[in-house]
Amino acid sequence: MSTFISLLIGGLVLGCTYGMLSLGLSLIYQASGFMNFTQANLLMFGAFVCYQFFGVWGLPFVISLILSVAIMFGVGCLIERLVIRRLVEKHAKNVYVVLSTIAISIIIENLAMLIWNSRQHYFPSIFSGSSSVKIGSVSVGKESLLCIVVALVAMVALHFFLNKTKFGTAMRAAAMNKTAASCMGINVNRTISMTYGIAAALACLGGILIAPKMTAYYQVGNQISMKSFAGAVIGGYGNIYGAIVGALFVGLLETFVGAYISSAYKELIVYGVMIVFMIVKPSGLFNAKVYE
Amino acid sequence: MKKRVLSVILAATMVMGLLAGCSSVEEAESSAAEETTETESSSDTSSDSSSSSGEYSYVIGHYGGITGTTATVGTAGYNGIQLAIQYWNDNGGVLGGQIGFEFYDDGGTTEGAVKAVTYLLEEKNVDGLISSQLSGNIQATGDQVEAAQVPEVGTGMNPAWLEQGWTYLFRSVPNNAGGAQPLVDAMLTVGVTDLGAMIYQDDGNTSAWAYVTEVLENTPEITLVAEEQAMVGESDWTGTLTSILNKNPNGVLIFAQGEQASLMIKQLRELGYEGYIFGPETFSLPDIRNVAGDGANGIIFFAPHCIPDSADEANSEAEQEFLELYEAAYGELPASDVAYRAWDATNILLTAVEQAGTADGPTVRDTIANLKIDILAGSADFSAYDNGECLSGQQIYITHEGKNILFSTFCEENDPSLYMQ
Repeated sequence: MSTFISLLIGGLVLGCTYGMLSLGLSLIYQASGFMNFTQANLLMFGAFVCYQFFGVWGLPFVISLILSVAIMFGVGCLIERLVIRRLVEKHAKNVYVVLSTIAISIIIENLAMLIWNSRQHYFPSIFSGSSSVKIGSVSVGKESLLCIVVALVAMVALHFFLNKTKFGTAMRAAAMNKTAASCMGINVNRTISMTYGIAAALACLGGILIAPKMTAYYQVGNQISMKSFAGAVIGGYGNIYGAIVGALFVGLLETFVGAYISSAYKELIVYGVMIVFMIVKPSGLFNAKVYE
Repeated sequence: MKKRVLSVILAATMVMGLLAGCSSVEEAESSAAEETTETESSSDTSSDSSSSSGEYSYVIGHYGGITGTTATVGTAGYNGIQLAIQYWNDNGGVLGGQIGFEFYDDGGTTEGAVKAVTYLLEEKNVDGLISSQLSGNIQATGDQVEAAQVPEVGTGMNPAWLEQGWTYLFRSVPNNAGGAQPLVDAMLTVGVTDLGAMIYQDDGNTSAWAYVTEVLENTPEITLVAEEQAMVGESDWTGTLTSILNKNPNGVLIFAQGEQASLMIKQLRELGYEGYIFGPETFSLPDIRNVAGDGANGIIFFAPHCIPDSADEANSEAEQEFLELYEAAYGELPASDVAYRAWDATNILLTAVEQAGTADGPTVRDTIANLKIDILAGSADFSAYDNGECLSGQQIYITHEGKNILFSTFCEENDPSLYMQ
């Protein structure tokens, strides 16, 4: 039983991290119809920004987190405003927009390496004293629990933002039909820009939460990005609830396969399941509209 | 209003980047190793170095990864070579002239290494080579080096690449096969009976693990209760480590590169394991202690070198001099012992060139093959081996109270079973 609980928590931590990225991927896809490859490196950059505030300059963790998320929100908006929107306004083909996100992603990675160098940077422990707590007979990292709690709170907050606020309603309206939303007085460009900002902020939050466990490292995003894509696909690409559930599924699947089958097969099984979903149920667990 | 908000965000981001960049300059010194140690030859960190080999009496080429997953270690090696060349140039160079340096960043990949060696041999016509610390990359490029008749001193520790029959390849450090027996002996000393193992699936670690398993097969006191693989590219090993702990080992062995090992150790400790952890030479990486924190206590590993916390704590005058030079040049001690290996490799190559009195590849090769030289790793004697090795055996270290100390010293001062859970 204790093994199961350890695995469950480990899988949830991974799943929540993937979820932060998957959410952003789905939000952007829903709002603009584009795949976005910048998310993983925004996660990495956000972790570094927080490391700078918290680990280097010694600001309190909460302040560092808020500042980092705010800055990355701005970066997300800027990416949309300065690159994506310009390409869309020039009626560039979708593939060009997607390629531009790959280019931005590489730029962000190189920028991080130039600023913080290529070494792993030890992210100071968020909690003082022992790094783990006992849940029954199971030892669980405090930062792992924080990761799960903050991720779940962020997901619930996003749900209420999208469904209970005027701006959230405007975002959903713009995602459904841009022309109609525009006719109704909704500033579509602004809502799309905000979507990129929120996606970047979520990625940043994910980066901060895993940094104590995985350190701040310029390639940390690459190791997570493909799993978050798998999560989004399994959940239903473009459906934000599907993104969350799909990501949690991938995190748990990966962890339990590693423990009960073999670590050698976990990648094979995770991506195998993704391929099966793409063929058998491309709309994913939440029946996202993925057909032309 | 919208423009104002955008301007504020843009300005804040730029200021953040600039401030972060400024504050990390000191750290960056260690990773880039540019101005402060620049030799009079080219020292570009890219492949498009502009120097001409003709300006120098001898040109050393180096391929390694200062980017990619082993960048920390690769940068330390790069720095060690630059430092040694600077040292030689400050003392008159070799063959009556200055020593040149050509570098190609292979990103730590095999295909990158093949490109790098091709570039260095065919485009830059280097006279001698110092390799990456990645044994797989040395092995992948061995035929090229042999065909070009350019002597190469390697810093990778896997025995395999010196078992290929090549005559132009040499090693500046004892190979890691010599660490297997002392490591298993240490397991017996602390009382390990049930061992769990996790092996990072790269060439160096899988082959090093193969030597340990050979020794374990002849050690009936220790049972291997779990053996798991860590795949390249992973960053979370919760499931795998839980699976190992589920078998109730009283010792856990992790063979991985330093960058991954530090995270594995941290995650293993977070899962509640408090016992001994055994590892290879990569555990001497200071970042292990930085990342794993108190969880690093109780780590036992073999290594030819172990970086002390300050130059004053060096084990010899030669090591102290090297560390002081390194610290003066890069602002901190090496991030990896590969800096030691690279320093030694450069000194071996240049000493042989000096003794040979020529840059001619076959002559320098023959000189190295008979060279006896004191290096940081010990008294090296290439003539004692017929395959390019110069040393054998490894030291065993333990991390105790935040410091890496000799395991024999630890056992004299403490109960060896101190960290048994």
